[in-house]
Amino acid sequence: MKSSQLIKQFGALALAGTLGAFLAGCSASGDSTSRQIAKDRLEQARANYALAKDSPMVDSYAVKHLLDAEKTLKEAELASKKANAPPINPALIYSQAEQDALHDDVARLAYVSNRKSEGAVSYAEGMVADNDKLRLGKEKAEVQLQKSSIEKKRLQRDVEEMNSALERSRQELSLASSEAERARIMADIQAKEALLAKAQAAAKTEEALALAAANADDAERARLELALLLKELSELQGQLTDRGIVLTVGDVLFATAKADLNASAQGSMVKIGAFLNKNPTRNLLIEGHTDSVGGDEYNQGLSEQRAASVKKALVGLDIASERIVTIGYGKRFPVSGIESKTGRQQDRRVDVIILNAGVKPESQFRK
Amino acid sequence: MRVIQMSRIGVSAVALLGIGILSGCATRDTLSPRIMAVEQNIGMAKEKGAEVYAPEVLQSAENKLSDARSAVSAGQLVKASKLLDEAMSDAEYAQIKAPTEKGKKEVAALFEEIKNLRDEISRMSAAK
Repeated sequence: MKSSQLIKQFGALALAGTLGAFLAGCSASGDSTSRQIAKDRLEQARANYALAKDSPMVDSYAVKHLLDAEKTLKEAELASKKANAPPINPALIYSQAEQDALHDDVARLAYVSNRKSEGAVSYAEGMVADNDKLRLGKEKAEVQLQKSSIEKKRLQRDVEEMNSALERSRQELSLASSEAERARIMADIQAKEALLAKAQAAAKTEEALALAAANADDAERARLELALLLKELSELQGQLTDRGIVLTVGDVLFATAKADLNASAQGSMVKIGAFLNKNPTRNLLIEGHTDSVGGDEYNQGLSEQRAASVKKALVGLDIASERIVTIGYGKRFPVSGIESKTGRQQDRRVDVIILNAGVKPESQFRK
Repeated sequence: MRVIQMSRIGVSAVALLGIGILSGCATRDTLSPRIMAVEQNIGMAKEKGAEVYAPEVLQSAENKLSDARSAVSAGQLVKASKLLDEAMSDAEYAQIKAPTEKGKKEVAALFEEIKNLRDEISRMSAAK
């Protein structure tokens, strides 16, 4: 046997053995099955991505999810191209196991992309549902108020009618000529008084119930509104705290070493602005922070400028300037406690605090 | 011939390496934390109501996790890695889908409540 033939056979056997062990798990099926699954899944992933991409809902609420799906779909397409590419040299054709492995990988990526596209649509639908809940909650409260008002009028009418009847009975009593007649009228008056007391109590209960329901609805709507804002501002890492909602405009939302906000942050400002417009009793405290690199003066200046930059963006959206107070803390209040690139990036930030209703920003300065 | 054969082995090695990278260079050590991460995400999906509002997706995640565990036991690490990726995407999707479906049902219930209230108002007005 020639050495080249030996090498060929050894190589083939060794390769088959290695591949067998390495790929045994995911390539038990034949090439046609693996290829078909990959093809089906990729087609489905493309279709679902196209569906998500064309959805105005996704465009409004789930762009990040969609980009994620797009990235994975591109990976799947690339893997598919590789799996289905004809061999440049016929002698270098992939073995069955290798081909299966390549198609399995396409199937995996297509599956993940598919789920991400579905996730983008579902996330957007969730946002729409949350908005609908808010809108319908208000509508329900209005209709309830309407019903309550009708009910209240009916009860008031009952009370008035009972009062009139009572008055008539009292007049009858003054005109009564016999003891027996007086006793009968007295009993009638007592019965009517009891009925009147009952009707008055019912009217009061109805009013209290309507008020409690309206308060509960208001609280639920406020909670929903906050939840929605936090969801919409997910890139600002919103947190509910005792002081109000703390939103962090991270370093990535500013131009490097500058105070200007980038386009992505501008979008978030529009959402904060809309929330403030809907909640005129809430004021804003904007705190600028830097990392520990550089001199105190430079950091103080940069933190003040960045805070001012956020205020400027919001004032530009018609939020009254007097509702917003800015302060720069320089490097005094790091959040990470880590001396690393990532830690420093977390420290460089602007905290936008949407204060609880009626709270003055100056009362919340850090000592 | 020797050159072609060596190239053939080389290409196979590159293909294996590529697949290895794509599947996260699966080893038992790297798969363990991924199994835990999937478990965690399945738990979070359940907390968000996936058992009620996204049962099929949740079931798919659980089945794939279970299959991945079996694959690890059988030493089929590449298969396990692939299944874990898919299980994770199922679990993440279930976490999105469950609150959305819950929200849709709440919206439908609100519509119904408003309709009932309006009907009551009509009846009250008619009974005046």
